[in-house]
Amino acid sequence: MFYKVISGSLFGIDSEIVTVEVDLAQGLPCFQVVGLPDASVRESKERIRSAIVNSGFKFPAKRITVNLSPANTRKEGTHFDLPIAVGIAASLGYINSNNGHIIENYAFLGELSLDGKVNKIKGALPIAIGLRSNGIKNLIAPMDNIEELEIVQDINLIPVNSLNHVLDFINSKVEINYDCKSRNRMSNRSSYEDFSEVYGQESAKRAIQIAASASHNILMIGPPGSGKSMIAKRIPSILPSLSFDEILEVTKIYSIAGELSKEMPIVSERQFRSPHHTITKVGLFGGGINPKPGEVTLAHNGVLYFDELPEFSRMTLELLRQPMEDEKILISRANNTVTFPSKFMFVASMNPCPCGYYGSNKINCICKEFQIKNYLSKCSGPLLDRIDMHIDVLPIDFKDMNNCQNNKTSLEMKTEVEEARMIQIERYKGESISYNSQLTQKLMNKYCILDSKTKDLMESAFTKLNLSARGYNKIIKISRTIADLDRKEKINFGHVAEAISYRSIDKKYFR
Amino acid sequence: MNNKIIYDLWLSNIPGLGIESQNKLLEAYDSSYDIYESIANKDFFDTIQINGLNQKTIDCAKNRDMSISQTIEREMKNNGIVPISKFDKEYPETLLCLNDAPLVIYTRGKLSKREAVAIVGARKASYYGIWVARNIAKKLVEYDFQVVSGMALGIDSAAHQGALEGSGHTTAVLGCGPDICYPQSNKKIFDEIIDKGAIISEFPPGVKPYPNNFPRRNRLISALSKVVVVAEAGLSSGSLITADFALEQGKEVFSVPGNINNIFSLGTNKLIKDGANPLIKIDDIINELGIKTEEKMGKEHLCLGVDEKLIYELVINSGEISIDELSQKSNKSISQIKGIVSILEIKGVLESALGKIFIA
Repeated sequence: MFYKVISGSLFGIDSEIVTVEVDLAQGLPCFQVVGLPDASVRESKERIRSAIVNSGFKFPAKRITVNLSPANTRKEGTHFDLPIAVGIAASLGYINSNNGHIIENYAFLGELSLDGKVNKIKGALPIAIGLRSNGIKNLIAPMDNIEELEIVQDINLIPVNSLNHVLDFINSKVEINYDCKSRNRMSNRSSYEDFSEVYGQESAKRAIQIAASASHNILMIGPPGSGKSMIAKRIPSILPSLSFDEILEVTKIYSIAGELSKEMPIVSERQFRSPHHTITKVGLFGGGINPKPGEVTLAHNGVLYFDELPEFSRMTLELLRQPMEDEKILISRANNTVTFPSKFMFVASMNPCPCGYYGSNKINCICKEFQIKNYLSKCSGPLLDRIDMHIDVLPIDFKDMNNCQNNKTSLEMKTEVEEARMIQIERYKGESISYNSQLTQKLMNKYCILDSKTKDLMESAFTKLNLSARGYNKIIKISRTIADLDRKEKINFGHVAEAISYRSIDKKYFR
Repeated sequence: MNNKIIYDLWLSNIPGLGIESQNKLLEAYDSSYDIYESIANKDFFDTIQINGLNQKTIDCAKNRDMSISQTIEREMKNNGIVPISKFDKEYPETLLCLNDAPLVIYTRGKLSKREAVAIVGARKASYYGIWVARNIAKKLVEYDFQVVSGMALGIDSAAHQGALEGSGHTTAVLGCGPDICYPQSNKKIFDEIIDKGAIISEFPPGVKPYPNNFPRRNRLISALSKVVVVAEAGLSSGSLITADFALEQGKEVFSVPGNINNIFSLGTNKLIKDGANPLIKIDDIINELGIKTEEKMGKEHLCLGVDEKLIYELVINSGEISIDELSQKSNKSISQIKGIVSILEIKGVLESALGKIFIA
């Protein structure tokens, strides 16, 4: 007896249809799963056997062959338990044959527990999206995964909690009408902290706003306690809201990483990821036997924050360049490569010296000068090249703490950022980029034309302040963003003059 | 290279034979050559009373082993190092005043006979100290003085740089062989000094920068100079040793005062308390050296716009100020302030570092 049940595969964050073919034949009893199953799929045999028996059915003493088609791609995950069990149940005749064709219109996902219960799986959302795009309109999935699946448009969701429940439904003994009451429930309540809580630091806030407007990477330098992390945490609160496609993309990622929960079934806000500097390569970039997303992917469409930049190993910083440049990360395995997206705004902070207080009037720096040099040289070079803006963040005086009225709120800053972003979206409509920070040389020549007075200013800055060619281009990009925030079509002298001030590292800074 | 100098090289490089002993020998005999000729005599060391020489040194001397000096000669040829003996006319007169003047100095570049002023200070200096050192040096070379220092990180390097920027002459006295650039990070200055100034060392090529060498070389820095300026020093800075040597040698010491809450200036402030001359204005040093400063056009008349002038005044009045404060005090937006400061930096009027703005 031969039965086909539809399910899906998960590869990175993409999914393809997998047809679970079940065949019962005469012969010595055995249970084989073929089609390149990985360890967790191979183990499903044990779970399925117990689940079927504990659901009250007899397990067939036949030669059972299960093929996960297409047979030449690797199958991972525990979600094949349910479709295989349903296939076996069907081959045993536990499904009414008049309804036999129905299971061809349905896809099945779920991990089985030994007592027959259907358990939550990781990566339900990407699989569901893949199934939907392949024309499947009905999805039977674990109850605990249903909330995250609500975001998929135009699909009929059937939440189930046990194998018996599934069979009863298929046999029309039970009706399941899942009402997506909470569909499109995106909380408007923001969980971010607000910029109005930061006293003073006007120059830092201004710089952050510029950076947020075009996703420029930014480095904050200052002594401990000056507020760098406080400011960084609030950056997502002024970034434009995620579009629907972006929400989908990020939720898929978090689904695979297993980070969705009842409280957060979908990811509707930009995420702020702040890995500790002792994080491993796999933790940061992703990997493992079954490749899972790393921090750079979890920060996709969000903010990746490296506090204490020089504490990160040189190799880590070196490896970061690729995902930053390509906006995706490739994880290679022996047979295949998984691609995870990694488009994030990079924010970093550091102290001016190992003890942190070099240059402070209040606290004396105790570092030897070779220590300072070693510390700073750790992050010179290619990574700094990828950082567009640098700012100094100084601790505020006590008297300023009480003086600060009229702190701009995050909402006010966000509105301005969104306006600047709209200008960029409009401008780059036919081009391959979306923000000023992605400008190439060619596009800069097209969209960032300077008048002669401004060109002279750039030339003086170039010679007087020791700028490199890369620094030169970055200033132009930043000027473009400042002009956008200023709602000006043309970049003017003032915009460039301000932009120059964000390249403090280029100068003879750390003598 | 003068033939005789090989004997000076031999005498000065006998292990264990210090300058005092060398001098005793040179008093008795006229030249190193004579010593060389006579030392083979069995009773050489009986006729000369030299205390503290151990047998090893005596044996080594008697061996008349020229190999060390020949190696040094070769090294010098490879590196363009020129040795000068104290009997040569090129040997700086100012050094001859020392009781323990080195018999041979190893030089690179071109020595200058101009009057010298030493600028010394801490390796870890604040921006203010660096600014002071650089600008005093620049001023000095305007009046045709040369700047002497030790090419250490911090103040010394800033002084050399200031002199070079002013197209003047600078001499670096090293605590290692003149073929070694210590610290490595100063390679650029090192090369520039060889090109446009002079390097002097009492240590032959190959000698590493052992810590003991530095106090010794400090005495040479003060000996070469008419006056010693300590630009900025903490309590344990080696530049204070240089100040001590200066006093011993009867040279004037100037010290630049700093803020009393600043640890970088604890040494310099203490020097003033102990009697060094405080350097209040950069021009003072010129006056003290007996030169009348011409009434140069005040500051170069800066073409500053209204806004730029306002910011400039605010910075001068505060000493050092942050962007946020400038914005509050001038009532201008952060955006405007940042732009104006950038322009003033390009004009060379202001400098900024670590978030603070100050006069260039």
